[in-house]
Amino acid sequence: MPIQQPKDVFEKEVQILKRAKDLIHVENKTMEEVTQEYENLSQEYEFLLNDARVMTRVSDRLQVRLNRAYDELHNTNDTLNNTNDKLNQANDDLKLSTEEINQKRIILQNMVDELTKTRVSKRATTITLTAAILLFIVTEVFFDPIIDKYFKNDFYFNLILKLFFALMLKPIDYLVEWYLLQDVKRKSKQNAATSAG
Amino acid sequence: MENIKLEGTGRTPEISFNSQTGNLVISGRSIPENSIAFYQPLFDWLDEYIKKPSLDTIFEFNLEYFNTSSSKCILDMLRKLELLSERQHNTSVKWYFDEGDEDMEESGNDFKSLINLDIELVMKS
Repeated sequence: MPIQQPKDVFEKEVQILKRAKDLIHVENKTMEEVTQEYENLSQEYEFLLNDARVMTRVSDRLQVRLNRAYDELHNTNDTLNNTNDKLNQANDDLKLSTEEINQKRIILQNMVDELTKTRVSKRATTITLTAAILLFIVTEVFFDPIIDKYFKNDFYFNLILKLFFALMLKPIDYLVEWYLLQDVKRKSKQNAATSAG
Repeated sequence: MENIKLEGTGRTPEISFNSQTGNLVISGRSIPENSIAFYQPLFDWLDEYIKKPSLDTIFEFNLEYFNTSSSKCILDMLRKLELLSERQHNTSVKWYFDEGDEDMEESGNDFKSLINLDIELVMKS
């Protein structure tokens, strides 16, 4: 197929017009030839007029169709924007809820920690008191005869010794509590690792 | 004579012109930026085809949308087919439109009123 330069869609009509204009300047045409040219031009004009009518109708109709599509697009865009706003609102609400849950989780964790500490403290006190009772019995049974023998049942020495044991109870209680807390923490970590695994 | 087979794009229609079977099809959307650049090769092909046409020629238009300059090109192609019909060759045109697409149906009717050809309006199922 020969390759031609693109022309105007009205190329044929342009040529007809050019021919009509050129004829005005031709002097040696007979009346018959001029009449024939006039008939041709009228026929072409009729074609062009009919084409213009149809094309205008078709174009107007398609323009209406385009406008309808534009309106639908506009409405869809509005709906999308509204949905987007709602989603953003829901997202903000979710963020707030998450923050509230986190705060409550921290409070709950603190309460659990306090509860654990209280339990451990009670346990430590129990252990310390039991140890104190045992120490008292041991002192009475084993140390008192020795004190009687070597210190002639010295009242002050006896008092200082018992005072010493009494004063040692608080550090022992603290150490036992510390040890039990460490044990609870270690067990919690192990449980967390097992759950994650 | 070579056949024409062009894939459709978002702006130009799919073209299938077969000189052996006489089946010529244009389908899709026709809103090219330069309509004459797209349709001129088709005009040239039709000019050649008219010189030595198939026994039967069926031109099918299955368009979804077309711009104003494309409507002029469609008219020009139908005018070329009119010449074929005037030479007593079997020539028919099928204008397809979707069910409920009154715009495209009316456009087919408009072309039908203007062109002296057997243009059949076919509703797609």
